[in-house]
Amino acid sequence: MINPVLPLIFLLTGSILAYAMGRAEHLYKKKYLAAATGLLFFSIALLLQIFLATQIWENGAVGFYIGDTLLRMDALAVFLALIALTLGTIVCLYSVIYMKNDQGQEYYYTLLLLMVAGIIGIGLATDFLVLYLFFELMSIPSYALVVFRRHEWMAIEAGMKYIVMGAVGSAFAFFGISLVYFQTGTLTFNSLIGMGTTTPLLQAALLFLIIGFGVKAAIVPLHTWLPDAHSAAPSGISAMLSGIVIGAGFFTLLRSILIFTSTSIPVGELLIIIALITMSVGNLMAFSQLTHKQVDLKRILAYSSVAQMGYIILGVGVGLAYGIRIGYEGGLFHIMTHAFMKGLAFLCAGAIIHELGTRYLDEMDGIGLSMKATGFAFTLSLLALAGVPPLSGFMSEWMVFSGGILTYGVIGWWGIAIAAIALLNALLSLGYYLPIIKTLYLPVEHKKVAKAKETSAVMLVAIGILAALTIILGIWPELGLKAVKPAVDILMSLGGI
Amino acid sequence: MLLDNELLVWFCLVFPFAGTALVPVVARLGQSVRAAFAVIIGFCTAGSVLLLLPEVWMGRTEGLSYSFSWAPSIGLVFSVYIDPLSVMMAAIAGCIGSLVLLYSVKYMAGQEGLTRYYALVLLFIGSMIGLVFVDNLLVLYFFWEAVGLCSYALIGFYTKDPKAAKAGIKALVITRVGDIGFLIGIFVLASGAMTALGVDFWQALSIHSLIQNVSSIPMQTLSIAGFCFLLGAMGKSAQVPLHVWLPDAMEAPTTISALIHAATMVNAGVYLLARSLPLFSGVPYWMTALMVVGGITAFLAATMALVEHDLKRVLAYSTVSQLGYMIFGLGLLSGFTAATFHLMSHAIFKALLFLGAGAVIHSVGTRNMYQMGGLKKEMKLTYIAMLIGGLSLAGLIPLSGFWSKDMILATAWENANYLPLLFMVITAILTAAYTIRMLNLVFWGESRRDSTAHEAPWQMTVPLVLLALGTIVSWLGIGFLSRAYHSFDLSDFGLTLSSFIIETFQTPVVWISLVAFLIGIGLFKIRKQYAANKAGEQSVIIARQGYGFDRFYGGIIRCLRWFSTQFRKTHTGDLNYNIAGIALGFLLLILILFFIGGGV
Amino acid sequence: MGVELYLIFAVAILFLGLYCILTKKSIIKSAIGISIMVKGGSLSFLIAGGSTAQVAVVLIIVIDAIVAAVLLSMAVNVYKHTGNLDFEALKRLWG
Repeated sequence: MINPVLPLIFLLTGSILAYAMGRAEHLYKKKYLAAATGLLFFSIALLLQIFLATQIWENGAVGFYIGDTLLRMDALAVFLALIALTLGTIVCLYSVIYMKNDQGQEYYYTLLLLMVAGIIGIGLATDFLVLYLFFELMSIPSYALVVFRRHEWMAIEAGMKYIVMGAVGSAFAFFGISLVYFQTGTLTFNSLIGMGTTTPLLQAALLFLIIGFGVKAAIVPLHTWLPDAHSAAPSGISAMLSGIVIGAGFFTLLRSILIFTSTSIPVGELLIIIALITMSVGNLMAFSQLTHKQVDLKRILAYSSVAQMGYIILGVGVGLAYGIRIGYEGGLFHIMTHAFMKGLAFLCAGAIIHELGTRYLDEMDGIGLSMKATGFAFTLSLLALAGVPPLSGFMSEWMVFSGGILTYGVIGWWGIAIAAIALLNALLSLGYYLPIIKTLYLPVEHKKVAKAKETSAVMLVAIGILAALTIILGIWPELGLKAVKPAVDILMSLGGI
Repeated sequence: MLLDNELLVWFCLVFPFAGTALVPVVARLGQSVRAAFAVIIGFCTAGSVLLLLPEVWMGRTEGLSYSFSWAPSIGLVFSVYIDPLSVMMAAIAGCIGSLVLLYSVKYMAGQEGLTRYYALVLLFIGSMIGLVFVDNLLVLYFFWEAVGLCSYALIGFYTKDPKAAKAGIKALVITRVGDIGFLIGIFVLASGAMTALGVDFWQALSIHSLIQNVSSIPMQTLSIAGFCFLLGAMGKSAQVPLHVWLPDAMEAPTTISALIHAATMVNAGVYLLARSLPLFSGVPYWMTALMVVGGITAFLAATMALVEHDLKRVLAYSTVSQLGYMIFGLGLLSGFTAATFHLMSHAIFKALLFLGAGAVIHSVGTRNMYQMGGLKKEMKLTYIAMLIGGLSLAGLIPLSGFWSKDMILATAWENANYLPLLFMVITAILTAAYTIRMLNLVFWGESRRDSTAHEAPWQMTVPLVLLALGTIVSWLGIGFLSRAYHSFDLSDFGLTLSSFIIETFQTPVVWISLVAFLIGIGLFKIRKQYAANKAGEQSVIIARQGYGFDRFYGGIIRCLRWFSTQFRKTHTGDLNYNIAGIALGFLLLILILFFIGGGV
Repeated sequence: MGVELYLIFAVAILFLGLYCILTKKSIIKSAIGISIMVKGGSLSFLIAGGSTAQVAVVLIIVIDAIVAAVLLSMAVNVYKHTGNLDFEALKRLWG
């Protein structure tokens, strides 16, 4: 039996070593030392995690005590850790080339490893304090990574906004935790879940927790940091942030509000409303990007992340409110598929921006013709995001929609209204995904585009893996559902009916 | 029996999909190999379907059914259920598809991106066959979307032409409006059936078992699902007001237009309605809605075809109009046979017309009919082929179009739906008029061209000849079709060929429809006088603008854009406002909790 | 009653911090505002008492310090680019 905290320990060790190797790069004038260390530890952690996953799916959760604090890896934690480590490894591979000319390699890989360690820790936590600790372990490196290229104004401005809003959110969450403690005298999830009391103070705590962790989960109207931060960060980091960090933010939110499901507070309904607002605003803002004078490609993708968070929250909300299993499954599965397809989109966008030196869509006419493989993968990711079969996005999105419509059995026409809003959003999202695809294959206008070469092999490998995942999860969803189903079992037993 | 039925079924599906995957590989061997490979795959597919046809049509009362489990927990079971309707649709897709492929060899020669072209065409055909074979509604939706996607990619095939790219997007977005309805319908139906029948999710998605248990599904579920399905079909089959994508789709290569109009895309909507007819026929007003939608579409599209000057757009509007006929036919009591019969004959003569138009455009180099004229002598074979196709469209006895259209009208007569019948007869008159106008502008009269034209090469004329033959003789198959439907309980009567002919001439409708043809020609004769008077001129202008549907949709998009730019201003980028957003979110949450009763 | 009074005080501190960030245009002031908000949470933990509360307060002080350090190092960069520490400069990205 592998120790459940082993991947976490490996990542933390890796972060220290990566820092040391980064310093060594300066001393011995060698390249790629930090990158190689990061990649090595990521892959080891990923392998360990896969072993752990098979064990835990068979035998149930495994706990580990540090002092009297319990770290426990259950199927939910496995789910989150698998996605985070897979995406982390791929982004690390991509960064080897993408970031090779940047100063401060020692910080980059250290922070990346720490961020993923934080995400894994969020899954492991069994009480609010540890949850909060790991939440910050995820957040603080992400602040720093956004401003990694600190000579660029965009990064600085975005990072500044991100950290202020993030910190305010954390303060709210901390206050919410303190209220829970004030009311109940305990912070461990197990003892909180059984309580089943509803007091005004607990309701207030719920509000603070949703707002606090909701900032990281980018629920509207707390999302305003996201388009700046996700578009200004280096593309690998954008992929991590959009792919898994906001997902982990929502995961934190979910873990912490699960304790309210035994009370009479309508958490699920609340999430459904939030979800509908979030997806509509995200899609509308992404659509409005096209009316700018200069269309920032990464900003569209960033806003589309807001919209996709809406789908995720909708699925989970439907599950929480009405105990609809396919809603839960859709929501969680969408966290997974979104991580891979949005990661793919950002990596492709990054490769294109890296090659052309511009981030504006208007100057990219026909880039799909000169960078064939990247262009194809990018098209694939956009189609998947738009929910086109047989790609992964379609599978998870329609699971979410079906969850929405199945509420028809419980709340009648409201259920159809929910699904109709979600589907209209999917329609609106075509309005910005398709023009991007169109631009990729327009006749070439700029010299830079005509001269552009296919991106380097290593980056292509990273892109290829994600593209393959996007297709495989589409035609063989059972592979992803293998991780989703045990996680949903946990959610079903805690919340819902 | 030559081959095992199950093997044949999988052949029909595997050939085109494997072909799609292999085209890029084969393309490395050379251009002609690539084209030959695609054509051979196309004919193999068509051959498999045709071998299957007699198996299903003759001597069976139960469809072929096979299934294999894909992801049953989320409702995906790849189950195939093949009855005469499916196999007829598949035969249309396979045969016309393969002829189009053969035609493409010369028509598309020398174009860029042909690997993409052949791969997508094969995928298109395969998806259509998949769509009509499968029994699981979700898998059907899967293929439904795949068909839409292929048409998007093929309409925008000329990536250098911004109009083509735009038309592709338009097609995808507008059909998606219908798809939303369809998807909602699927889920409402499935969730209703799950509770009513107490079955698993994947069982509740099987069309066949839904039809068998239709009486135990609550009427409310059925009516919501029924109208949602209708919306889906309206998008795919280009019914008013969702028809606007089809004329614009003419930016595609002509071969693709033929494929979309005759073999694949637009038939999907009609197929869906025909397939789900036993489910929803009991829903109040559902059949009436079909009749209304189909009737209005048929009429409006015919008037638009009458004033169009682009050869391909005339054909596009005529497709919309004929699809209206089919949906109208489905809306009639026991109109199933007539509607699907018309689908078959329309597929053949419309493919013929498009491929003929392709030959004309190929040699003249323009789509504007006012720059053609007098092609009769120079392109004799094409002329004869298009004449046959056109007259079949106009409804001249004894071409296939006459029999099927007359059958729809006769069914309306028998059901005593006189007012709708009148509407459809007027449409028939208009149909004859615009067909004659088209033939006149293209083939008759003096040449208005700068250059000379030439006859098309054999790869293009062989499909034309075959389709022309099909247009003349295909109606002879009505006996088999009708009896097969009858033995499958799809239709409450079974005809033989002779009884069909006798019945046709027993009703007065046959004379009405023949007279309509003559009046249509008369209408064509007085066109100049009509356009000369003031009211006539105005009506022509209005019809040329497509009755403002495009403007309406353009307005919606402009509104959306305007709203989004206004909305964008709320994202000020000012950190103070961003923090205010957090405070606002907090207040909103309190309000929501207050309203949805977070009671203590 | 006394305990609830303290709690109201804690909430007041939290929103005081929020008000500071909401209305002030200076990055330094917003850093101060964040610290104030966190103190609200610490206070409410302390009123509840117990060993967990002590751990929580120590934890949040450390985290707050780290966040403040990162924030201020970003502020240095803002200063390098614009010559002041005003939010007004941070309005290029919008919409």
